[in-house]
Amino acid sequence: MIRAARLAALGIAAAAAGGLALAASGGAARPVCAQAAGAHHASLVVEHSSGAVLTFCVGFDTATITGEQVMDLSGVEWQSVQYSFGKAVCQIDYEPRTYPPGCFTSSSPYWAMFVSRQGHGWGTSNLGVSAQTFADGDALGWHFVPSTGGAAPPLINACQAVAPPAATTPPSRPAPPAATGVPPAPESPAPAATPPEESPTISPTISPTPIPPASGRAGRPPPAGGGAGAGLSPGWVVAALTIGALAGWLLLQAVAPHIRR
Amino acid sequence: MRPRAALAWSASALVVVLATGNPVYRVLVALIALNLLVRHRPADRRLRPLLLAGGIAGFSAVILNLALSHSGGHLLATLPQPVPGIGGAVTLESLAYGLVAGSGLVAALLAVAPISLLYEPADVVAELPRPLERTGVAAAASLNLVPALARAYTSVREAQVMRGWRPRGPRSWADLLVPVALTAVEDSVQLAEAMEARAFGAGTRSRLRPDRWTPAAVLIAVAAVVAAAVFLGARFFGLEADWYPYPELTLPPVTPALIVASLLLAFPALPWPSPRSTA
Repeated sequence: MIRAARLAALGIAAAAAGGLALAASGGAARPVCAQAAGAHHASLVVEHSSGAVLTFCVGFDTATITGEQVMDLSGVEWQSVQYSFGKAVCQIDYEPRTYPPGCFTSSSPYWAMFVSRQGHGWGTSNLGVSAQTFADGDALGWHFVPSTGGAAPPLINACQAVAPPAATTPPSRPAPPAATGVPPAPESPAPAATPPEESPTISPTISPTPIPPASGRAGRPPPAGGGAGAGLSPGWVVAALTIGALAGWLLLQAVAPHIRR
Repeated sequence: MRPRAALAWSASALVVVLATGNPVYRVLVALIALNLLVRHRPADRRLRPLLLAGGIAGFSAVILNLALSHSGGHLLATLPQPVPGIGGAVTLESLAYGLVAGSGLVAALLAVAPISLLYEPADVVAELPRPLERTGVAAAASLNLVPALARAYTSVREAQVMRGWRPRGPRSWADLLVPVALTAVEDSVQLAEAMEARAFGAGTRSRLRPDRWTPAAVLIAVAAVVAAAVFLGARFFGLEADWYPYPELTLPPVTPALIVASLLLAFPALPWPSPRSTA
């Protein structure tokens, strides 16, 4: 029941924030000209729990696309769990680092979903990400909020051209975040490099490295540390020795009486 | 190990198991509890039923998670979908989470096992704090009536079958249930009379060998409570967060300080200083 309510809250959290223009929230990336290919464009705004904000402009040629397509086309890393009534978004841009099998628990933070239509303020959604549709000028917003809920992300039109292309070299993406999995807030606006004409129909506005093609949920590489290939930490060495010692002592206690006989 | 030290140890070990979702610490607690049980187990108590129950619980957790959770990035197999919810992807992450859940069940079971395996129920009830003492006795007496009820049902049923009784619809079950209910009431009255004859509820009771806090018992209890406090504190201050294998399996982070805290539970499992007689 709580989980169902939480899922509903993904699209129902409140908040209308500011105007469509250049949001100036703490840690927010300043919007730049995305020039994403496609006849229509939709914005994607992702606000981490740290306050760091990612913005993406997605271009498309059909009249509308689903929220799931917006996420996929943006190239941002995201994970979901399929429920009978749709998909629940569990992870965006590697936050949180791990999550329970049902995506979240009654006490864990979660990704709250917001929808903006034609530049108006953020509103709630009574549909999940896979069923909600977006037309030209719409925006999809996410904010990683505590279990008690939270405000909407800053309303940023990622597709609005506010700066001319400043560099011809491919932009670079920010370094992967540290163990927290939360990307740092950009200290300066990323150069609005003009993507090559044959580039994909997406263009994240903060993308210091070459923008990967729209590859579903790949996104940028996962944060370092904790992986199976990351090598054993000192903690794991201590744990292995301790478990080995306890298992050996147990074996000795279990076998010793039989040896005495 | 004294019963009151064992009570403090079991309660603290259970807190540690429930305060962490990290399988490393759960395995540590389970191994420590096993060492403790093997060391202090009376000769007439067998560990096999406990281990069997733990194995079944852990295995069930693995199977259930494999069948019902289809998330994760490493596909092992794909089940057909004749039953909604069961079919779908079987992933390495689901297997890992099933093992983590199973380790929690087994560790929790082993944490409280010393209470039932090493002592008589009367010893444990006698060590409850005074406000809980009468409630504990009532609960213990009630739980003792469950197997008595099962025995009464079996004997009444056998007696009725010998008289030609056969189950023929709901009404025929009254021939069984009425005598069983009357037997239960009679047993309860007898138990109440026996307890009253032994001055239950009359205030201070005397004991033949009152349990006392020995230095070893204090050491065991304090060390266990400190271990539980460290884990609760680590969780409260965000130093120990829940770990999950989703979306892709990674090694859980391990903190040496929490391993040391876990080892505080190992005092009664160590061979010194003969805790069987002094603690």
